[in-house]
Amino acid sequence: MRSWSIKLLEPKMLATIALLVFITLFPLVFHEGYYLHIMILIFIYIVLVESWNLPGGFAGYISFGHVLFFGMGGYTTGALINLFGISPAITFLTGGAVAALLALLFGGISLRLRGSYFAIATLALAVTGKFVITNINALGGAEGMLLPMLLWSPEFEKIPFYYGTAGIAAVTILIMYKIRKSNLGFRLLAIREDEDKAEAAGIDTTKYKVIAFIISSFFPGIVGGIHAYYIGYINPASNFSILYSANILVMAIFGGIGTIGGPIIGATFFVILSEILSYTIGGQYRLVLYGIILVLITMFLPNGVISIKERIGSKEGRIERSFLD
Amino acid sequence: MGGVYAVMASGLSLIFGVTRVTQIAHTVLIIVGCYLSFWLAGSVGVDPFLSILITVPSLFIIGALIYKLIVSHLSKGPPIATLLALFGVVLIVENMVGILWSTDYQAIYSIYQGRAINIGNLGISLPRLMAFGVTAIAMVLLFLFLRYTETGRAIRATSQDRETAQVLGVNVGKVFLIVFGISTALAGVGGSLMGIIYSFYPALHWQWMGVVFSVVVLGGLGSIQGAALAAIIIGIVESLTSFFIGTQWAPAVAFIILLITLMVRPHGLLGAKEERI
Repeated sequence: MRSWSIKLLEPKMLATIALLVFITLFPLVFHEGYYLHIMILIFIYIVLVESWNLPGGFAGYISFGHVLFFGMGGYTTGALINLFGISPAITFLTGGAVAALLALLFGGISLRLRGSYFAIATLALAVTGKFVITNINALGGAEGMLLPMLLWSPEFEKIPFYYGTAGIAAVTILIMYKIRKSNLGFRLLAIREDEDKAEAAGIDTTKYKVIAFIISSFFPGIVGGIHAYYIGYINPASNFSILYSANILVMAIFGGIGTIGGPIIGATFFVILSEILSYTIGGQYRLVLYGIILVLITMFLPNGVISIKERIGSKEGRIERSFLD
Repeated sequence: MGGVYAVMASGLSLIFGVTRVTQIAHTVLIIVGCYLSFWLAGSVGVDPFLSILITVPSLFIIGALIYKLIVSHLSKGPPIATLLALFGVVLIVENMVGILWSTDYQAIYSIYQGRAINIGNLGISLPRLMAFGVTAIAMVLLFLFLRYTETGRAIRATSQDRETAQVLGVNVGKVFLIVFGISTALAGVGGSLMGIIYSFYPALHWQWMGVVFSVVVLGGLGSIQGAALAAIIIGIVESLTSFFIGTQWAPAVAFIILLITLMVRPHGLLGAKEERI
């Protein structure tokens, strides 16, 4: 058994520590709101993509409707703050719980469907959810709602959101890492490789798929709430925008489906890229480009950017088989 | 209304039935049909119903290209890879349409606008009646093509048993290419007709996706007769919903029917029961 001090000196560990220090100190150096805003978006997307990756990457159940959980989180927070005056911290968690409950209800039914049909069912659910919210007048209908702002000086108002989203992102990554190494993780991989065989081997596939789906909805529910409170405004068109689902897919596939590092790479790369692109070319050209990237990656680099290292030949020699093989 | 849904959905059903590909870019290609007719009617001055004669071959080519350039290369991999690549196609096409024609609402103006034929007290709008006529023609042509031509027989053989068809000398790759072309051409017909009846904008295809997929799933995957039946059912339920509950709920109907069908009877009304999806 290796002791902690040796473990600390491993390159991977050193890099992680360096990254943590960098993220902690970042607001002290770059205190302009703009940089913090970008970082907050990166953290939010890391949470979204890492969670999507649990049923999507590990179990092979691609969801086109993950925005639903994000949107429900936002609306739970909006409704609880505006209609009942409840403190934000509680509403964020409630948002996660509402999303998880929805995942339990929907997952139990829809996860019997396989592959493409599950994907379409999730899309259907997300669009239906958007319609329902749009038609509830108490939630502001299509206009949406304004949320009270955090009463901090403008100079510091982004700081709590920065550390908040960073914390959630770290927790999400850690939990996904733990799941990856756990029995649940192996069972999900077995489902991805061959669901019929997994079932024949005595794995209660539906149960584990639903568990994965619930976990994967909880975190988007939380960041959906934080995002709503951060932006200070929610409406169905933007909080339930299919764009979130599209972004999640592109980021996950670009980074590498079914890995822990892939979503982090994908989220970071695409948030920065989309910022650069929104200055240079319009939003629509950006989405055309995303579409092209999505097509090219699935055709030529199905395991994502993270697999480049393995393609060249890593020392670890451990090549993860992706279901896109 | 159900008639147009039938044309929109039959292409999707055909693609699934023969190639087993879930063509999620189908509805965005219907939008392309809309805009092509809009452009032909507005800038060139072609009668919108005649413009169908141009949208059909154009969309056939687009469909064939999507198969040739993307889908055929992914056919060896799992279906999910194709699905993801087609999601990329959705993003490309939707936003290209938005760049070319803006994301605003558009409508095709034609001489048929606002005209109606009165049968007793019942007024039937002329464009809708003509649209129904066109869908009937398209469906009959599709049926005759599949039934009586050599290619049609090859398509049906491939849909029943791909391996055996291949052994018997059917060029499966060519069949798939033609199926993608025909299905996308049907999307073009549906698009031109939708454009004549309704106003439209590029992102509308997400809503149609609900309609078209619920038609296909309700009818039974791969069953074109089922799709026609389901299209009429969904058209009627939608009309009833907008009449009794409120127009704003009508777009949700299709999605709710889709969800219920997937839960209760995933093989649809006329689909093969043993099919595991």
